[in-house]
Amino acid sequence: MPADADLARLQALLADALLAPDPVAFLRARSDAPPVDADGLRLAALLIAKLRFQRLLNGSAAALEFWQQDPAGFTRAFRTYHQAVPPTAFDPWREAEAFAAWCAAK
Amino acid sequence: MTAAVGVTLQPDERYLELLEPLFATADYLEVTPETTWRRDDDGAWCPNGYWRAFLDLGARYGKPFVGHAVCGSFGTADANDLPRQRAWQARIAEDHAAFHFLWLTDHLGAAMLDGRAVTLPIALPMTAAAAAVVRARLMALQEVVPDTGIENSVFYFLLGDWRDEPAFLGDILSAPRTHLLLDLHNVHTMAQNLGVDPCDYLDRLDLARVIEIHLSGGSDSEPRWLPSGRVLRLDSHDHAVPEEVWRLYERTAPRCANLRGVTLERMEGTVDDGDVDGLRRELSRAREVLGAGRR
Repeated sequence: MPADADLARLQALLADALLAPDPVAFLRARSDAPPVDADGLRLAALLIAKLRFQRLLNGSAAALEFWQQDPAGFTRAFRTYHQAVPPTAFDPWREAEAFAAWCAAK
Repeated sequence: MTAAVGVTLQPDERYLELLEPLFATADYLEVTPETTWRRDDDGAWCPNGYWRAFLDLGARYGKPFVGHAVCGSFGTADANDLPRQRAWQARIAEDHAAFHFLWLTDHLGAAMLDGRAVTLPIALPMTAAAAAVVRARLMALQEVVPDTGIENSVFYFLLGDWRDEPAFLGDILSAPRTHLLLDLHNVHTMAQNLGVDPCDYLDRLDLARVIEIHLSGGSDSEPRWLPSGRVLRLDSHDHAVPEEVWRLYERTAPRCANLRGVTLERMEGTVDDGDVDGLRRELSRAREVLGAGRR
């Protein structure tokens, strides 16, 4: 399973952009960024957040209850969480653990 | 060899209950292995309840399984991701020992970027180095499942010209028994979003590499999602197969000499009582096209 250093650097840059508050502004500020479609980049970042939102609700009973009782409040909290805590897991349980740790630390 | 038709299994009780009559008439069942996993107390992957439920469905109707993974992230170049990749493949091996996948595919792109699980496949630069990364992962997976493959993904932004992707896929799939899963709704979606002719892309593909075709529907993004108000088509599997995709299928399937399966994909939570007849008709139509291609 070889790794490619240039590709790894590019993927790190894209991860930073996709998780930035403004992905397009992030990439425009970087001289080493590839040219990409701005709308597509924004939509990809939005879908990444949406997938994480769903993953969290699937994995955390506490988050689900929070969302059901206060959708607007939960959405605000999720936005802050998404900016503050990098996503590191594909699965709902690790996402739930990360959210619980973030809530406990607040 | 005559191609078979299959249906996806989803980890949703209502979906499985509603579509059970279709599972009985399909030739195979497609499983996303990760939907059958959970974490045990030590954090290791182990089977969840759907693992047994899917195996039971296969046994009840005498259907084989095809695997279609979502977390392989074959395009990830970060060496620090190797432990995750090894754990993923080890769990796939345990699944294969039970499901005996006829073949196993995942998506083109990278869903793990520098330790960040973005989970949405992100486009790769279409270079020889990137092709080598994906090819190596496919070949490593062949230690578990001899026939492996990659699906053409929907990318909402690209790192090159989409019309170069067929050549890139050809470079990736240069090893024996590595295949293309041709998702025709993804081709339709990319062509629509880019404003190009989907046939231009399809005509550039080596269709002899196609082991499986995916048929599905999708929906559009909402104008308020983007500051520009632009609407893009989504790979959402939440609606019936559109006529444009059927036309691509009728045009392409007869030209795929090594096609082994055509799978109807539908997302859980998007099927109700009123949709079952439509899905049954879609399955029949998929089969009829294969029959017409043989005549």
